[in-house]
Amino acid sequence: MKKNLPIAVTGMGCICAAGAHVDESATSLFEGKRNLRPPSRFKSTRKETYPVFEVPDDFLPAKLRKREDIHLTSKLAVAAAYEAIENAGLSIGQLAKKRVGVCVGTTVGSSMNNEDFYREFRNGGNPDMVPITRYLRSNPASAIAREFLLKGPCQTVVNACSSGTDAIGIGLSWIRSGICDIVVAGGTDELCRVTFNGFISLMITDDSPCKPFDKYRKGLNLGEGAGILVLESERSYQERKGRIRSYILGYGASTDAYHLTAPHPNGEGLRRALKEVMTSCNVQATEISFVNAHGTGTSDNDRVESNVLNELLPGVLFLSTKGYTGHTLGAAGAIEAVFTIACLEMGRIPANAGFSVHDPDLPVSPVKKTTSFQGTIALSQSLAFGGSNGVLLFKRG
Amino acid sequence: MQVTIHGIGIVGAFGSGIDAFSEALARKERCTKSVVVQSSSGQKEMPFYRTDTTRLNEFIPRTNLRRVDHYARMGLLAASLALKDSGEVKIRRSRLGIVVATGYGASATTSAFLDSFINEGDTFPSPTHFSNSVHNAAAAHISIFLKASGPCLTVSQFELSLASALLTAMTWLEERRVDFVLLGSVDECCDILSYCWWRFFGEWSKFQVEPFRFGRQSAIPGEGSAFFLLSSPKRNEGAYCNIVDVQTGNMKSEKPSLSEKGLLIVSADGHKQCGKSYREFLGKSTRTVSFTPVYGSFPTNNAFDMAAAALILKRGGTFLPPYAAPQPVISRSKEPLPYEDIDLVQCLKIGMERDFGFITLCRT
Repeated sequence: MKKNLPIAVTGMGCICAAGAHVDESATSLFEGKRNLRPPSRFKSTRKETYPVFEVPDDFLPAKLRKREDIHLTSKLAVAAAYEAIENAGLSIGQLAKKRVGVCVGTTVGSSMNNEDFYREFRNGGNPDMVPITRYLRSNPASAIAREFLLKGPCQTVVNACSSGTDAIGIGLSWIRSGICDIVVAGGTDELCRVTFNGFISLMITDDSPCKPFDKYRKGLNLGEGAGILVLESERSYQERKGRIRSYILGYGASTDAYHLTAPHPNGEGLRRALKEVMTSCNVQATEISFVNAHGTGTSDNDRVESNVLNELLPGVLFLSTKGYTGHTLGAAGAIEAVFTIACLEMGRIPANAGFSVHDPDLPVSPVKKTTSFQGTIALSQSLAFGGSNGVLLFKRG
Repeated sequence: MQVTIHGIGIVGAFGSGIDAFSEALARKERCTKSVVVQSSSGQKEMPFYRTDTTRLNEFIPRTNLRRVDHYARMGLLAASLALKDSGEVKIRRSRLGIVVATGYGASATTSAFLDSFINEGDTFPSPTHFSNSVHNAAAAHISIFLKASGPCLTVSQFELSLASALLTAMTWLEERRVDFVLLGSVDECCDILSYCWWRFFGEWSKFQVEPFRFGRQSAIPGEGSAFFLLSSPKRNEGAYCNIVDVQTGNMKSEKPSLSEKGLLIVSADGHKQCGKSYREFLGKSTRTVSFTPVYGSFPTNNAFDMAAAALILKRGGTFLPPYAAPQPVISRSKEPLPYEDIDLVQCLKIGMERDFGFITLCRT
């Protein structure tokens, strides 16, 4: 085990409401586009409208769109994996010769919650088993492994909203420990009525475009999508002369052990995760160019993050990209990892969409406009139901 | 990469605690409880390995458990028992990680959440059911009640969930991210899963899981939770054994590395579709047992196999009476198995798509 070895990211893919792939999504962010609309794939009997960041059908490649054997969560994951693997310059033949693992985070993707099936069952009917068969075929990590004929370890992380970050952190460990040459790691999730109604029931959903860290923030907007990174050992990318887009320097993780849905009010867990990753990587606050915060737009989350960032990373630029993608749950950490790397490559970060008025209760606020920076290191962090906190530290390749 | 098992907590239809499990193995306990299943020809009462978590009140006051569902209660009880079983082992809770494996997560509460907005309309979904329906709810409750503030992870990979979770637990220990890991499994059975079971497999066996009658569908659904307190290899008088390897793969392209010397525990749990793969693999193996008739069929029942393996390695011949294998067969061997000379046990679980998880344990 090479404990603190930086691991190369040689490819990345992303699909979300901001764009069908990484470049399109990044362009949307810097143009300030917010593709928010009422959900189109399901209906709600609520009087109020809660807009979502939905991925348009035509963002998916045609051959994936037509498939009926797997659900949308896995289609999004496979689409992002195609982009990431192609971006890494890897062929199926090359992958077959290496030990390639898959580690993917999700929430909806592992939940047997088909509403139509359940309604018919409840009513004493004999519902068609196709949705259940599809669910059993749709474990996101397995779906990617099947698609690319990968034979290494396969793990679907279901750690609520930090799943994507945690999955990348686990992939990092698999390379460091020599279990894998390559890991396809990331997160994926689709919108559905279950999470839509669930987050509204918790009264943390905004009925207008979300406003992370703003004084008048009212909650989150849900989104969907997938982000995938190709992590690769030094030996593997040197052998094939692969291009390095970024390095992952480290991963910190902790739990609040406090509440099922609320973060610890003092951000205890987040603080420990941040300290862990910075200490283990021997990185000082002054070396960090920016933080891609979890920034959901909920009152509690944003207050905790703002306090912890002010304490541990004073003066460091930060933003939330959820104003462009919505909260994509199990995909969020992975999509934000992709954006973090893209911003490191460009040397600038976009405005924190939705933020305009400083909240006097928050010690620090995010960037209001596109901002350039000089350094090469950035953080991406996720907080989750259950109190999990995950932090990834990246360096420009 | 090796880890030591210091404590085991387990809860299933047989009761709770490692001694209850040990006794159930010795008694070759069978399924005695039932579940009512909805079918096209009306409701039917079918056998089912139901788990009781009343003993959780020994660890956590009942009033604190009001919003904790059956799925999380099973995990909480097993995790609490694992810590208790580890006795004198000193653990800094900020250095204690949690890794939970589950096949289907909190299925009953997911149904309850659907019920809440199907019954009451979209305006009144239950926030309590929603927050407890996420797969990591059990792990979250465990971290809260046990004040474990190291990293906490839940993994869902159907039949490979435990092997996959174990890989991460071992990695965390190897990289010293934590000093200890509570690795566990939780799966529950509920109305919707029973219904799906009936639709896929028809009426199931009313008598006994027959693990080695591979051509016959004899699986009976079960549920339960097993937790293991793990650390990097450490000398400890009370330790059970070491886990020395975990493999995952697919039988279509590779086979597990079977030791000629050890005992093999298979999770063959009466599923005809998986039975074919076990039959092919077991051709060369002689010392093979299955304990699934004691706890039934569910995606993470190989955690119970791992607990049985740890017991065999720790207690040797004094633990289990000979499995002379009266019909229905539990052991493939017709002779009593000499557990006392076994230094290595391997646990094999094969999934519906021929994917496998293979865990090797040996004496400390």
